[in-house]
Amino acid sequence: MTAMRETRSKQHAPLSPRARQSAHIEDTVQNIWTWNASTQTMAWSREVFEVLGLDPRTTTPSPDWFFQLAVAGARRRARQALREALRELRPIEDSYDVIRPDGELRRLRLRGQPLYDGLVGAGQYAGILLDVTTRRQPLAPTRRRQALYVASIAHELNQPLAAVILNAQAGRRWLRGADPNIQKAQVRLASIVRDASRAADLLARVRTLLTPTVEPPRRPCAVDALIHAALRLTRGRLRGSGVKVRLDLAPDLPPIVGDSVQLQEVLINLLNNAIDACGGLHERRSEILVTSGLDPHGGVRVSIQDSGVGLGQETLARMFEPFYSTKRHGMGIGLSLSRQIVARHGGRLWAARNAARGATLYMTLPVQNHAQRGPAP
Amino acid sequence: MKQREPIVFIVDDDVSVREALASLLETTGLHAKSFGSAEEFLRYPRPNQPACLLLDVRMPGASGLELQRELTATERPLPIIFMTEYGDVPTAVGAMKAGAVEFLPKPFRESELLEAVRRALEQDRVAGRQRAERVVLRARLEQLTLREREVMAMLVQGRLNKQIAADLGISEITVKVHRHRIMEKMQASNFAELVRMVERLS
Repeated sequence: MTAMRETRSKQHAPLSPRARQSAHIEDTVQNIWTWNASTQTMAWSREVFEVLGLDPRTTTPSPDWFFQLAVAGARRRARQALREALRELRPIEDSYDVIRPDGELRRLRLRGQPLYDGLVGAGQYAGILLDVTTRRQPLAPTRRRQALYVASIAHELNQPLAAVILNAQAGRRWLRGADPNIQKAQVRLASIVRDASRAADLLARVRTLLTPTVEPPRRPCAVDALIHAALRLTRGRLRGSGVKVRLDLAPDLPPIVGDSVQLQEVLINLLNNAIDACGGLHERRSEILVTSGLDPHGGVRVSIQDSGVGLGQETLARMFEPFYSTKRHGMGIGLSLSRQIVARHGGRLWAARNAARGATLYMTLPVQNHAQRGPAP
Repeated sequence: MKQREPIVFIVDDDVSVREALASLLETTGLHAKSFGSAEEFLRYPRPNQPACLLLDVRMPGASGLELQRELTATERPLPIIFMTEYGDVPTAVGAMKAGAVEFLPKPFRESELLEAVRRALEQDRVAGRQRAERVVLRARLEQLTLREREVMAMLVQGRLNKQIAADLGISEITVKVHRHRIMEKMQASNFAELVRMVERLS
């Protein structure tokens, strides 16, 4: 973070006089980015972070962030164009649509030019990034925005996944037959590692966009207070669905340590899932059982048991993966985010099928004096 | 017609994808050559051997469809297998209409890929044979005199020696001599073959 600030101030100094000479930069002198070709580093003004909806404290500027949120189709083209311009130190001018983490569709204009006037600034490059969204441009409805966002991520994930599959198939074929070619198969395996890491990196970036970037405040909180708060916040849905909630909470549990807002979100998410699971049954006697107690491995355990449709083999295996959803309009993000939040608190979140019907989600959280120990086994 | 070993061209901006494709094809003994862009591919001289093209539809620079248009316009159109995102129906339709051999949504199965490549190469082999045949036939045609060509055109239209002789104001014997020369120069073993040759030339 400090390193980034330093780069920015260093690069700002030689840039300003030059920027003043250029009319279009002058008008918008705040929205500036710079690129240093020798160090391959980028620096942004605060306004650029704002345009992209990214947090200056946790984001390291890089050309790829400009297009991370670009709608599918525009992304590859725009990113390639900027990379080429930066590599060959040519001017660039481009416009493209992005969908910001808050779901807003924005039109951005990117401009840049190399800065060499004889002696100063060889290998330096500067530009602007403006939000040129016009009022006339209608904002897409929430669902459409979500769909677009997911589609753009899916599009981006598809390349490394296609490569993984092709590499695996090629590798398998090299090993087949009487005279397997181990060396060629190894090259394919190395590619698989590379491509799968690419996919993982992409998801990690998506995750940083979707999760709160600020480290949550850690305060002692009572588990049953969290449960009651979450129930209050889902009361409307519960009433509408006709699902009954039964509580079986252990008294006098030690307080856990964490961010009560985030943990409440997790509980709300689990309750909503339980309600959804019951919703498919059209039965009035659907019930959700919420329990709390000490976990045999230490810490506090909360369980949310529903009498709903239950979990299929595939769902059970994949339900915590990002973008996996069995709901028609689900983004498939809730459970994966919940698990991350719980993991960040040093706890665990998992699911199991009930003997009779429905499923149970379990969450463990370390208690105050064990909080430093990290995740439970 | 003797033909050299086939080659599969790959154009995809994703280096991992094209390397994996090349390796996968190599396991079946096929030679592959890959390019990162349409422009790069177009600069490469087209070798004289059966070939096909595995082409990613969406790329920076010239798109797959643009490259397809350019290749279709040449004298030796290259059979193209398109690769694209799943569900990109409009592009698929456009590409197929423009004569693509196959359209493979990524990610695809190796069997689909290999089958498509096999068909594309076969298509190019056939096209290559036909092109070569036309060259040979055209060379034979060059050896015919103007009068012989005139007679040949009338013969394949089904006119009798007698009618041709009357039309051209020559004797029937002369028509027979022309006919014999034509069969000889065109290297046709019978009349039916001559008819087929003329069809192929037109």
